[in-house]
Amino acid sequence: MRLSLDSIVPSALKDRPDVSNSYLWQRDLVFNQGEVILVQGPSGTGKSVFLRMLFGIDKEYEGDIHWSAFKMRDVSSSQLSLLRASSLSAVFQDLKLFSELTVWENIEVNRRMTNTVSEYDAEKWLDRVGLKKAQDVVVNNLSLGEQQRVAIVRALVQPFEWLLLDEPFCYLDEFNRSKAVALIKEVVQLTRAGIIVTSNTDNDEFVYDKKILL
Amino acid sequence: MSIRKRNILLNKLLLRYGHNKRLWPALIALCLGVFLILSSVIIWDSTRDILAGKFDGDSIGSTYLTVNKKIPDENLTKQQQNLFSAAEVNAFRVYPHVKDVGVFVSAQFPVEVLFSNEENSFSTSLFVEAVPKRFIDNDIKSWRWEYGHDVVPVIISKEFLNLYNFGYAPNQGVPQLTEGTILSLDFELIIGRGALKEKFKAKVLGFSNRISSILVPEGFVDYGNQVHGGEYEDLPSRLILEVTDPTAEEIHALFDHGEYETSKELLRLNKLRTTTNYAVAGMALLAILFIAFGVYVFTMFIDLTIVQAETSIKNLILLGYSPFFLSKYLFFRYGLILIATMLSSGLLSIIAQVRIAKYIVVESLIIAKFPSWEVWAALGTITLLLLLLLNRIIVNKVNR
Repeated sequence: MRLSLDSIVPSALKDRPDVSNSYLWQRDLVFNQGEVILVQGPSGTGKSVFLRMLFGIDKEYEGDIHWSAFKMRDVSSSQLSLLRASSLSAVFQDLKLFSELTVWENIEVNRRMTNTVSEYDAEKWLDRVGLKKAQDVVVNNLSLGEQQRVAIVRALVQPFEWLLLDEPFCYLDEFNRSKAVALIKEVVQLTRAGIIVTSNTDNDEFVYDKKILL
Repeated sequence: MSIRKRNILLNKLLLRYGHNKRLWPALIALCLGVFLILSSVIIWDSTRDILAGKFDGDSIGSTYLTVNKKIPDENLTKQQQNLFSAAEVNAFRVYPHVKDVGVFVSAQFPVEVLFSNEENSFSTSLFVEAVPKRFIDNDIKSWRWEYGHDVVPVIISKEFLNLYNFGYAPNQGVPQLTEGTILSLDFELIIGRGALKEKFKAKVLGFSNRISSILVPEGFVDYGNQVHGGEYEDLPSRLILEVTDPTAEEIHALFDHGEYETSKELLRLNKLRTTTNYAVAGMALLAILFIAFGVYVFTMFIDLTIVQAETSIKNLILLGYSPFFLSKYLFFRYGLILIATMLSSGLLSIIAQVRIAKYIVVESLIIAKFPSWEVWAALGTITLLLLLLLNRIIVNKVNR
């Protein structure tokens, strides 16, 4: 699935003078499935807003976003749900976990929506990020780093063509970060999906095809 | 299995506030409100049936009225003036709310009744009348008589039996009689005068609540009048009217201002219908208030539940669950609760009607044992409206 951006800019940012220096806003860009993109910029430049726009949460922007034939501004709620369930998966900066459910239940809510990933694989991936023993713990009782790893595994247990990661390792130490990155790379390689990662800093966690500075 | 596990998780997320204390008062108020509405329909329906005598052929409120002319002092000796002419009978046939008119055919000959056994005999004079069979509130198959028949069937008024048992018998020191005793008695009717007297075996076959008289088949009175009758013109002194609405103003006007009389007691009973209608309307109003309260609390409860689960709903939508699916999911669960509440109301109505039917049968009032289709139609309509309201609330909330 191809992503096309036609001169997009969030309404809240369009009057800022630094928008014209951005390599993302108000530019026509095309990303093909399988590409790994880093969107880099300091706080307040709209990295999270960009992912929210791609995911169909934010609609306050100028220009157009196309996921292949889907024009995000015009998709219906059922089309959007279909897109999210089958082609787009995301790890949000605020994680959006179900705090009252256990680790395993959080994974299961997403996995059982489509049942495309086996229970065995889900458990194995949870083990890979060091959360196997915590799978029956209520998410609310986990540290932020643990919660972030739950959100990553949860994003992987559904079908997707693009994985959107909004500062996905910001709460992780080096050890856990490398485990999470390895897992994502492995799953993405299997699914041949593309990745869009936002970050404050330049990094080499993935082999990026494009780096876009905001 | 997979869907079941997913639904367990969704229940935890969406209905986790569903077991709080707000739900029960809402459902109880709703159940009570709907039960009251159904009870109103049952009361309205049953009253209508009782007044019309649908199940026992006996109308207490009466769609049947016995009419005679008022007898002013100056007419005391002019019996002909107290009779109904053919023109008057025809005028009744076209009077508003009058469905049918029957004439009482009086015996124009002396009648004696003779009870006798081996030890004693007892005779007394009485009168007999006849009305067309369709006006009699007692469906006796053998209600006919022709010359040559062995036994003359007789129907007597229940009022007469009461007068005998509670007036005559204690006063005269004779035993009181039950309906069963009277039905088992064989007696003779002696008609005619002097040497032309004739004896006929007779038997009481039933009792009438509707007609205050001693009734015999028309054939017997016709025979007696032909053979033993006097020279009076054969005009009726009483009429029986079947009316569509005894509470109608025109019917009341007939007796309030006209020259005719009917049983005031019957007309008073007619007021029962009006009173019941008001009572039912009042009850329906109360029921509507209960329903309004129940619906308000129920919708507030759903509203609150959805608001409290709002974050979960938003996160589920981000994962790819469609708003339509989540609305349907919530609607199905709350819809089931609603339908169960409605069914409980229906069940309460059935129990109420069965018990009331059983209780009032002792008072000789017969109603249907189970609620009529009107009750089910009311229940269906209320349920449908509440489900539509529920759907609207859920869809609005989930898609907000």
